[in-house]
Amino acid sequence: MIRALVIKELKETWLLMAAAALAYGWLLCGLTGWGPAAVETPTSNMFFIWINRWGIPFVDGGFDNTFIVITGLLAITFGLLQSVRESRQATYLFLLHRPWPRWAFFLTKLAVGATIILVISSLPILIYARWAATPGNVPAPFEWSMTGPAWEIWLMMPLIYLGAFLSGLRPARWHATRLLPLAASIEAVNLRVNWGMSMAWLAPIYLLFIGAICIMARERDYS
Amino acid sequence: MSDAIATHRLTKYYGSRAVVRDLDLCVPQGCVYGLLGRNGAGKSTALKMLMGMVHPDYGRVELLGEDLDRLSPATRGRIAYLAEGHSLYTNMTIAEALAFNRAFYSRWNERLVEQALDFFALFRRTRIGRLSKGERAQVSLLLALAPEPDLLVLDDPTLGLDTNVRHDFLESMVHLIQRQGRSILLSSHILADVERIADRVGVMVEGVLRVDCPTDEFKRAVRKVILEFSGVPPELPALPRLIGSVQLGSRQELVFVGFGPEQESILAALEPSRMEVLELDLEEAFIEYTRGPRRRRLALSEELTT
Repeated sequence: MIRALVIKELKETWLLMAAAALAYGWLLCGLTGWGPAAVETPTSNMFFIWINRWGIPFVDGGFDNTFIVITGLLAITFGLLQSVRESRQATYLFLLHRPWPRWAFFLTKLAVGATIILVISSLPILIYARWAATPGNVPAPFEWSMTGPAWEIWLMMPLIYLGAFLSGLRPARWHATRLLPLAASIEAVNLRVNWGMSMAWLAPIYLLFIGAICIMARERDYS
Repeated sequence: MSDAIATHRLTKYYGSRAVVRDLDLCVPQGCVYGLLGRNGAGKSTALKMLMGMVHPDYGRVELLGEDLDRLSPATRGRIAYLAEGHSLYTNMTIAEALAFNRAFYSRWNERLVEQALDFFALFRRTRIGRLSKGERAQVSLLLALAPEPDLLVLDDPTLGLDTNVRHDFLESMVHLIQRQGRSILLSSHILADVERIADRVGVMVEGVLRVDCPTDEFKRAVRKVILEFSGVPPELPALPRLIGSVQLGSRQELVFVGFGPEQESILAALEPSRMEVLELDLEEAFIEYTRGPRRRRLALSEELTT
């Protein structure tokens, strides 16, 4: 059952995964000087995001800001796609009548979505770090601890995904109120990135969102 | 033996409007039950409540003897549900949809799948998004029947299909679903479809189940009486079981639920030049029944609940 649902989710989202891979590829090309997107000037504006090829990787190269935008967009699109598509196609009526607990459907969906986001978004960090660690590429020492802030952002991106999923799942009369969970998740990330909120808050916030999704999945009408 | 479906005072409000009100529905084991009603009568909402897709504001549901709130996956696996519009994953091929569905069921009749694919002339590699409405309905039916359910709940399965496709679909449905003890609840506003297969009918009007009786009894009960007068028809006296009347010149058309000697003698006293009592088929009976004045229907509903 889990396998069948995982395969279904992967098939429905592969296009988005491919788009995310392209976006990360573009970012890496800009930062490392590879391929057609190579940036020959010290700083470059790629879609209004400043990156600096000659900066110290993960410190002042602009990686984090660009990474947060690309991964955030990926997480939002993923969450909305997984929840809104089923509503639009009225396939919840088909899916949720399969003899399996309702929470299991939603937790499997969430597990697939969060795993995909974590796996895909870990690749640019790993590739960029590997490039930065290779002697001759950057005229500065490299420590793996320099990737710490990038990994923190990476760890928070599924939260935005959960916020988007809950927004897509939650029926509301107005789009503005429907998007409240997404706004809340973005604010939680903002509190950590810009205001130094403790990482210890992350686990309870994750649990809160997962719990809210399970309750919403059980309580809402599928009409 | 418990009923396949039993509801107790099932009620659902959207805002201040009761879409379904105090629905006491009982579908015995082995019965083919046709739930009729005009658009917006509350049929789909009622069926969605039965399947747990919509939460009732009041009331409870039992399916195959189990309370819906505590319905086990095993029992749900014995129930097939075809939602209105045949919502399927359009990006899947038929083979993928079958494989996906099969993963959830312990019972799966592969022979039936092969027979049905052959019968419907469907190819496993065809993408569902490329199928016509009729073919999609056939795939829905196939997916519903493959796990050999004991109870089928079909929400307007022929909606949107043209006459030929609808006919073929019903033929195949009758052919495929006939099995001893299988219970079917079918909603439709195409009365001819229901008339062909239902043992029992229920008629919902404005969210209320007004009629719940055997199909033949409903047809027998609703009668149209045509009275011809030489001049303008006289004022009608109080007529028990009258649900509608139309005057067309010197002609008066009356619709009764339960026309008998009592009504006949009252009408004869009006001295019409001609009196004709017409039997109606289910569709005519349904139309006449559902378009009468509301207070009449309320008064007569009790007469038909047997």
